[in-house]
Amino acid sequence: MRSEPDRAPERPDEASSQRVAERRWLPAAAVTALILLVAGGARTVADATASDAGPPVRVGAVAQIQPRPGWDLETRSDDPPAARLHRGPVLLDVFALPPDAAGAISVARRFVDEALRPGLAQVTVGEPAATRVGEVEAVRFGYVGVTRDGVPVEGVVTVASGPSVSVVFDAYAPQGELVTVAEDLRAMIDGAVIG
Amino acid sequence: MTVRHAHLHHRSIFQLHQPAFWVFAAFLAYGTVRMVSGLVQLSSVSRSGWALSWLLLGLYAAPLFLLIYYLDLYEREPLSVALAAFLWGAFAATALALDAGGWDQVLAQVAGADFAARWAPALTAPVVEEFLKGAGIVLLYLIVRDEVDDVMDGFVYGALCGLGFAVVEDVVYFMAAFGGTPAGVLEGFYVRVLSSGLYGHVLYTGMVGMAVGLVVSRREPAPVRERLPLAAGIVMLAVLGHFLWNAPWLAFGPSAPIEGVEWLVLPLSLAVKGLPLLLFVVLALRLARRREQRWLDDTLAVEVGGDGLSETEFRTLRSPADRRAAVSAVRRRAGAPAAKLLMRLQREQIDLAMIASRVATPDDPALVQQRDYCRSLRSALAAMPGAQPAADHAGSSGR
Repeated sequence: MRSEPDRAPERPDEASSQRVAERRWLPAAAVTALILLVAGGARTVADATASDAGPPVRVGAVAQIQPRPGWDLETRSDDPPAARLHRGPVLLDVFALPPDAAGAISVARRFVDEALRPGLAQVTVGEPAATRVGEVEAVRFGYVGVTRDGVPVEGVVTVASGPSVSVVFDAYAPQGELVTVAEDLRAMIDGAVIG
Repeated sequence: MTVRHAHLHHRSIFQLHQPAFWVFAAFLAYGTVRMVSGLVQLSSVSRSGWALSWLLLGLYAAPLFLLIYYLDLYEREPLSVALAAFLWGAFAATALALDAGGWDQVLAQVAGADFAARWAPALTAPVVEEFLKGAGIVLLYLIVRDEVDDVMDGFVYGALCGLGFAVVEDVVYFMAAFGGTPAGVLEGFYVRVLSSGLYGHVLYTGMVGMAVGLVVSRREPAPVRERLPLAAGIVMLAVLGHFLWNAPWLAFGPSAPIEGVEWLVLPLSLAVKGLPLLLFVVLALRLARRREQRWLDDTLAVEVGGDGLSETEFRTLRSPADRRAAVSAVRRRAGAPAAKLLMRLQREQIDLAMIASRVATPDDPALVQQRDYCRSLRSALAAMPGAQPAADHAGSSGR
């Protein structure tokens, strides 16, 4: 006569009285500190070593953008009127173009065809959405692509079209980086002065 | 030696009394919230492309998960711990790696924006990502110490963690860098998985896991301080492999858009970068497996013919194929409960080797208990109708 033959006997060390808790706080705390240092410390170091906000950057005769702290002016030219700012690997190119009677959407299409597509090995462009830069009507769209070096990039283009000038803001970065400065970009672009 | 050392295996991840468990759970919860919301947002690019991404990556990851899981011939890891390793890579490590993107900014401030845009993926990502994935393996070790006790264990957990990371990263790439449309996703799958899926995070983090396993192993005769340099070397090799993969130096494959015969050239060009490391890891795993077998032979030599292990059982135990055959035979003759019992007996006999390797004397109480336990399992199996003949085949001589 068997009793519950399909059940294995209990392991000697499975009896609750035999279990010894091994609570070790120090190694867990050390790993936590290291993870926080590597993941969170990066932002702290980047912010601490970032430059203060520089003076406003004028692009052409009638457009002006105020860099946020941590953004540096990399290049600026008057002919054609353009400027490039960067924070880390994120670049913000600003171009001042002649006004376009067909509006911002027309300028955006030309920018995609004449700048984005020739500049990248591969690019996919999102649908433009209406927005405003200050008092000026604008459109904004995102894009993702691959550079000719094979680096995946993502970008957001904002095109504002005023009566005397059209301004293109093209912010782009290696994949995953753009989101880290999204707040800065919104503040700089939405606060840009377009005459 | 106390009974405490006999508390060996088959523990789940849910060790609520361990501080490391709560650290692991907190980072995993944070990462899951962060990554799931981001992944859901990506579905707005193209729902069909998003669904196709998960489908394709599921087809790639599921068999690879099983392959890695079954690599350890003698000691199957608890499924909950294996899944935890995968989830750490998929959600915690990916989210923390995004947070660590600030190091790219530091690099840009030091070396310039153009340099950072070109070199950040090679200079910062390998160090940061391998550290964050490796931290998950260390936490797993702190939660279930006895489940990470040799190089093979470390590789299994590390590779599963790397696989989780690769799956989520691939979804992001398919949806972002490859456009997210079904055609783009298929292209991404070909480039990132079919052409290079064997070389990436699975290998790197598997190596980091090996290093962790080497350091914490209790089967190694050499003291820890002598193992540390080798472990450090393995981690550096993993980081170097990741660096070379990401660096623009060896990008001599066709660039996008890929057309015609370039589709065939791409896997070959990627193999130049990835194959040497893959071969190294395969060789290291073969060596680790041989060491495991030698360890089993040496440790159980004095136990063969004793209460815990008959000679026939030992011969079966040495060969995973024979073990599976014995279990199948018992299942046919006596049903699933008997087969389960035989599997448990085999597992406990492996644990007998673990205990034998840790105690100082052959009459240590823990070892005696384990022998008795194996004998009681054998008796229970023998009492099951139909199990006896097959159990004999499996080596249960009913001593």
